Amino acid sequence: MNTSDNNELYGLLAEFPGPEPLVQATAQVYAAGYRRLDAYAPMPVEGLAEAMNFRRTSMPLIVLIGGIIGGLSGYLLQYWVAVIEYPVNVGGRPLHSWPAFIPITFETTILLGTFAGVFGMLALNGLPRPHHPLFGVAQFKRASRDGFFLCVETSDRKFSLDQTRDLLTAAGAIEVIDVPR
Amino acid sequence: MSQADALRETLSRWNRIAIIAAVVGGALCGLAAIVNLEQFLRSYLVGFIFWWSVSMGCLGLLMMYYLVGGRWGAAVKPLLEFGSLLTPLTALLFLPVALGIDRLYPWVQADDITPEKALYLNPPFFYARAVVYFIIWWLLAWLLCRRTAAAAAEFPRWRILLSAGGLVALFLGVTFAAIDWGMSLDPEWFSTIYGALVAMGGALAAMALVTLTLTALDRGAPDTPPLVAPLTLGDLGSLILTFLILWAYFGYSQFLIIWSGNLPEENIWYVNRLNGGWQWLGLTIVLGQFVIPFFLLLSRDVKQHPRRLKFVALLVFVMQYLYVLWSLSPSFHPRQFYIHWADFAALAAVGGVWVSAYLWLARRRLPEILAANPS
Repeated sequence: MNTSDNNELYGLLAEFPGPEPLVQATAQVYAAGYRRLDAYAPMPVEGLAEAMNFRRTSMPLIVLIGGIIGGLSGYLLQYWVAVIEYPVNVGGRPLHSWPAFIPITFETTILLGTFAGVFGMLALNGLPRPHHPLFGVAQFKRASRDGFFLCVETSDRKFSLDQTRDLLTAAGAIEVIDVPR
Repeated sequence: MSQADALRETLSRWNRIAIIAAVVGGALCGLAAIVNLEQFLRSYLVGFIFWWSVSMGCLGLLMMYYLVGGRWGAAVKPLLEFGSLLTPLTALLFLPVALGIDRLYPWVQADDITPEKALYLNPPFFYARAVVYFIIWWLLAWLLCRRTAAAAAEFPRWRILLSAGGLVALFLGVTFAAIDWGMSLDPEWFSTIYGALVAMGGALAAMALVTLTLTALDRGAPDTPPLVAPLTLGDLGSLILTFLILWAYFGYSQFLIIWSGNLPEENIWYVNRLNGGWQWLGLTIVLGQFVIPFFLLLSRDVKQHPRRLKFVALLVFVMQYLYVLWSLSPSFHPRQFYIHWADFAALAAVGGVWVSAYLWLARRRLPEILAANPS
């Protein structure tokens, strides 16, 4: 492993002639033990996510935690206001009238759950990010038109400039391009 | 041998159980009618309303599928048709209620209610309305499920248009029927969301029933592919969750508004149902028909797994019956928990008849279920 190369490079970008070769190559590279890789295609490609063994993200957990915090804080806020800080007798009902607290609790659950969803998604995507190294490669523009790309990142434990390049070429890449950081 | 034969065998076995339930339940109902006619009619009304609402739910979901389409509907469309086609059968099952209204509904003695209410709540008008409801439902079910050359296309335009108008008609019909058959047990009491709550409970029970049918059929040998694709199962689970939330929202709205107003003529309905033991049934429903299935159905691991989803669908279906019991029975036994053996007999009798007809259709038209779930 050549550390100086790895510091200058974001990864290796390989171009493939079509969707099927891309899926096959992705499966091969994954089978070879690489995990930090990503594929880019101009349209949804069936089987690509499975070839990368695309795991579930932690988004559901983040949203659940956001929702629970929202629900608890909404309820406790009302409890604090209505029972402790500003108790008012409304029609002889007990101060802790939970049925009336439910709508607000529901709203704050949704609110914080949604916030957790949006901001959690941005955080997991690594956003905000003004520039991505892949845009430094001229050919990468074609990923939104007719190019099928697979990128292996240098941060992968198995990454080695020569071996990875050989593997990608053997997997059927038309061209393997260095992606500067 | 083949998957179809194994499934046909399973359906036959279930059908035998349903027929036994119908016969035993029917015999016990007969006994109950001799011993205590009033109690029999009360128990029978609960059983009838529950299974009738399942038929209405099937019809509503079928029309919803014609309007919005989707993977979920393609998978369960035959089962929804079977449930809808049982509308004439529910009309037959209505007969004991129709014959017993003088013992069921306090308003039959006209001096119990105001003259204005008697204009609507009187036996001749009650019967006329019931006839109109059943004709509308039967027409809708017949037009939507009939096999014709014109219906060869999966979504004929006239069926889409019929579904758009039909959903409105169904919702109005179920609302009025729910007021006539359920709400009028307490002629002084009223709630504007009552009909919508019954309609949504029916849709929820129907969604749970078709999901339960598919997932229970899906237990072939380990080497055979699953009957329903995991993503489709996930959609069915998500729809149960949707109807669950909507039903809970309607139910809670009714409670919150009446609780906030706290007027004696309104809150008596809840006072009768939250005292003397009924409150424990109510708490069971809150837990079993909202809290537990809600959290279970949040997880994709549950929704996309046939056995786990089967458990949740069964829970929701049973709980919906308990809700119908809780919403009707305390009108006869206010503030005093009361379960009679005739309640179980009526559930078995009406349910046995309904389910055996449903399974008979499913067995006869099994190729449609298999074609809807290619795996």
